[in-house]
Amino acid sequence: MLPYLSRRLAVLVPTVLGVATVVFLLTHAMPGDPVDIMLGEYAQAADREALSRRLGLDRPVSVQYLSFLSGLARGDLGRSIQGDQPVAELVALHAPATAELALAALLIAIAIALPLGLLSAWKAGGAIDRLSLTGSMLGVAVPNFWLGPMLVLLFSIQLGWLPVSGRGGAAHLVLPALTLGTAMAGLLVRMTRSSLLEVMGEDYVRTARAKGLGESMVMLRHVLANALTPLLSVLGLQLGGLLAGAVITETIFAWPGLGRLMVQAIYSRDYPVVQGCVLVIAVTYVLVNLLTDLAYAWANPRVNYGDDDD
Amino acid sequence: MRGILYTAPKAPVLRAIAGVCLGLIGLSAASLLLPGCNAAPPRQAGTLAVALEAMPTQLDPRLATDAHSSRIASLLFASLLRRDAGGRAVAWLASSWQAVDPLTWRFELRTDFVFHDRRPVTADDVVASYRALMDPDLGSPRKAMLASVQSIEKTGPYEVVFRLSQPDAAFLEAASFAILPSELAAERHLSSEQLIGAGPYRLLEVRHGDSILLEAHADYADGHPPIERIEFRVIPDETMRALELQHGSVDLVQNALDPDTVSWLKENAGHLEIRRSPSNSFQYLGLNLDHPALADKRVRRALAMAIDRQAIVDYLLAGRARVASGLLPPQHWAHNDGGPAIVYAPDRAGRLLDRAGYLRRGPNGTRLTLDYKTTTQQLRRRLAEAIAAQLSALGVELKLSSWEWGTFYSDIKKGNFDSYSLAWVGISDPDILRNVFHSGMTPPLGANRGRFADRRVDRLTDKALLTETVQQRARLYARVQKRLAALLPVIPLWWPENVVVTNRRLEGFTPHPSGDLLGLASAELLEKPPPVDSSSEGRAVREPLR
Amino acid sequence: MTDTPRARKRTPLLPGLLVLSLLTAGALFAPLLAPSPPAAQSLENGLAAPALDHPLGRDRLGRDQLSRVLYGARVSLGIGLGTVALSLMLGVLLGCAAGYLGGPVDFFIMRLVDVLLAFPGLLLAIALAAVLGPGAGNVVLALGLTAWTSYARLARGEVLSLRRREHVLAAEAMGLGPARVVARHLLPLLAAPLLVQASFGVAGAIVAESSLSFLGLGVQAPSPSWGSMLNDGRSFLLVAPHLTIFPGLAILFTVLGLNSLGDALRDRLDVRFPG
Repeated sequence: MLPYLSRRLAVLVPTVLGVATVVFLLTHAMPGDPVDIMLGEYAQAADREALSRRLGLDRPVSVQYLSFLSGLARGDLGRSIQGDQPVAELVALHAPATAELALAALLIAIAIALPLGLLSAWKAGGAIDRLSLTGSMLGVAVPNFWLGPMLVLLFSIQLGWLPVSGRGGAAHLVLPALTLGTAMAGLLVRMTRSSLLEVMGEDYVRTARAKGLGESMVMLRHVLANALTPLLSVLGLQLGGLLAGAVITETIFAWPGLGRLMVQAIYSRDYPVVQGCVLVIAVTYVLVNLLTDLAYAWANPRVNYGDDDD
Repeated sequence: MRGILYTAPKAPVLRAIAGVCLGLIGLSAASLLLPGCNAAPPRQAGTLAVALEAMPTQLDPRLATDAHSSRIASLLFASLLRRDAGGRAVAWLASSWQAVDPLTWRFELRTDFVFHDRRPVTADDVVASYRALMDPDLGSPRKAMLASVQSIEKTGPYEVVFRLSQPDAAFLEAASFAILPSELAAERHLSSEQLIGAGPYRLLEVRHGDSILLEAHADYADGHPPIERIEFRVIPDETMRALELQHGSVDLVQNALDPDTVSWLKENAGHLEIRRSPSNSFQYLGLNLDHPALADKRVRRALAMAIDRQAIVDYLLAGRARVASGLLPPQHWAHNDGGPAIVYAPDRAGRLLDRAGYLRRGPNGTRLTLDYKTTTQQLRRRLAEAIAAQLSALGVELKLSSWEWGTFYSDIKKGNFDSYSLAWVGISDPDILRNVFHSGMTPPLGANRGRFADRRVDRLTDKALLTETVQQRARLYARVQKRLAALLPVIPLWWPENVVVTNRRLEGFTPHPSGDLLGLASAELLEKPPPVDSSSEGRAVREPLR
Repeated sequence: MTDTPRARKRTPLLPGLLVLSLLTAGALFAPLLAPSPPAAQSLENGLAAPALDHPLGRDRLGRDQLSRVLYGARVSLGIGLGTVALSLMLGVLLGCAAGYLGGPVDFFIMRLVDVLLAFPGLLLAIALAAVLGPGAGNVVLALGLTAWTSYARLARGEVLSLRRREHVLAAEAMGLGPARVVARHLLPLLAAPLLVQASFGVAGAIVAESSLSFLGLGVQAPSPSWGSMLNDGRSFLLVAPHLTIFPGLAILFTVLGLNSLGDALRDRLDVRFPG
């Protein structure tokens, strides 16, 4: 375990470096000047230069890159161009909102997908199976920006049970989490089902049945556990998709999270904020993947640590 | 992954699963319970909720440039003067003002204005505020507008004098800048607690990216505002803004809904009211006069004659705009719609293009191809497509492309376009005509993006800047507008109305053409909406507008 | 395949094939099938509800939705296929190189994969689209450059496990260069799982295109794509729901069909890989 862990950790550094470089290059490659956007139409050239100098944007790109990297090494994510707040502070303000939404969506997705996947695998080929497969594809193909307002129309306007948008108590979380979670639920149903089916076809399951164990006992003790563990690593990967979907859901529901912060920062060319957000999300993603892989490896000690590292 | 074998199950496996699930539940519960994680406590009664499309980037009035910031800033900060519906200067912090001579302006201040922290507003504060704006180290975008100011001095406890380096008839524009307390005015960076002004509301709380809460300033000189609190909520999605209005959790949305959505709300929500009034906006089609075809004024006139502006206003804007017969809007004191009018006459437009040498290539062929850039905003793209269809009937092919704002703005300023459409918003001093049409005002100096050059316009706009009396200025600008109507460097499209959708519980609110929300300071939020009267769409300013 | 009393039924191939052929037919024959030119506007008749003369209704500019959905099939399918083609090429190239050559090449390529995967998915496409500019071609580029990782991992995984097969070793012994070995002896074995992944990929690209349209990037007016139609219809969710329903249904059926096709292919080609 330990060499595996240390190898995985060692790989983290070049990955983060790679992400930092790519995001730096991309944001600086976008046409448009943050100083222009900030000062607007009527600023004079001298003022523009002064502001540019003050923000360090007049330095050559390579110098800015090195300064960015050295800041990272110190743990300093820089300051926002627009509002001069430390990026770390901005991220800390917005991250809990995204975390809350993502976790709630994940829980809803699991709550929908696990039972459905189980049922579908158990009665494979039956009506429930077909319905759940169709439903799962619906979940993936229906866009968030349509589903959100539709849910609001039903639950907020017609029924008056829930608020429309914004972040607040638990009631505010329901609709956005549902919107975000359905796509993931769709994916999870299919994966749960296929994983369960694969395991159910294995020899040791037949052996268990041959030994006379009841069907539900077979499912519970032998099938479930083994089928669910591969899902662990998949969940880590899905986090990326969740964060992507979160951008749209956050915009729709006026949810003050990282996704929205990022998109707004892109539009105002607030490089440090974009860089900071992407880095935080990337590091989180990599760490979560590492954790889930470790959990998987611990749960299933025959995993081959050998050659492949994903 | 293929090297993984399944083994006989172990009880620890089940525990692992359970552990992960519990961990997830625990994490999410923790995040819900963590202090500061739960934003937005429920709305207090007596709070007016306003929906904004985007978070103001900067609430510091010395540094803010975008419209959202100025809406909120005008509620927090008082300035020497403000503008009435016709764009004329009106007293605010200053009780009177005069131009002692063309280079000297004197302002007398009212003595009853008080900052949010109870300190009285004096000449010291005014002087400090303006000096900070003129300080190059602060980097304020307002500095450019104070270019003609040589000095500002206090000549009495409630009197200040501005000395100019050259006569500047547009100087009063600068009198609308926020006044801050003298000890804070020069600070490089102001935290939200330090954003103290003398306006009707004070800043209570800023939840980054989410909402801004204002509270009534009990000692506001023009009276304690009846509405105790105003909450500005950022709701980026247009459909959700409408749904919030319908639900009743938002009470006011100004110019942030699609025309069809407004019509839908009018039909489906009895508790809402649509207020339409003239605005200080002007939508136009910008042209690049460096393009060989667009340099020919016949081509420009032909394009103008081929666009059915009334149809676009009627169908795409639900009639809530007025086809522009000039540049400055009708209620503006310097408005003039003399000069050759633009009529919708596509056949004549075709013949004009023939005469200019742009013949069709084959029957129904193309005469001319131009590119047209627009932003990604839905309504703008629809307008672009409608205009493109109308021009293609003329034989002019418009290649549309939509860009996100940063790239779009950058291209426009660099002259990297053939045509585009934008609007002047919040027009106040007619000196904007010099900023946009004077040959010396190409970016980055000014907004003459189309690289228009006409000696008469240059001369007239320069002169109008140095002219003192309002009547003389109006006459000069009339001549400018007539000349521009003949040359058509930009094609005037329409003057959009100011459309405000409010909950009927809001009484006594008069929208301002600039989009300013100062009217809220004298409005009231009732417990229940008043009984319905005949129409829910009304409150248009009395016609005719001039 | 083990055979148990509960042998799972194979996903029927027919629905997927049917959808795919309908789609292709619609896209190819759009000019013949469309009742009106997709760009023909009629402002007075904007937002007309579905009726006999315009079965799917009209949009705000009075354009016939049925025609636009048909022409939109061209654009959406084109984007889907283009994206998959690009990402397939890139992914197979890099994945095979990583798996076959191993060592530092493998390390570098896998780090590249990690970096791309660590990016919040849509963000990379947004940034790329902002850099490249609007247009269908750039959408394909932006999506293709971000989607190749799954193909690369697949290819690499397969190459790694097949590397030691006899026919491969024999080819190497005969002195064939790496490119030849991969092309002749490994690629054909990859075809099946790649095909399955590709059919899911086309569906994914079509959905991703609509997300990009949401953010205002992507296919330019007046060219209709289902994603941009969905986005344009968003302003009219309350006023004219038919504007989002029909492009949405088009996307839905396409995704359902392609996914079903992918499942059916996987069942038949005896492909076993996660997801």
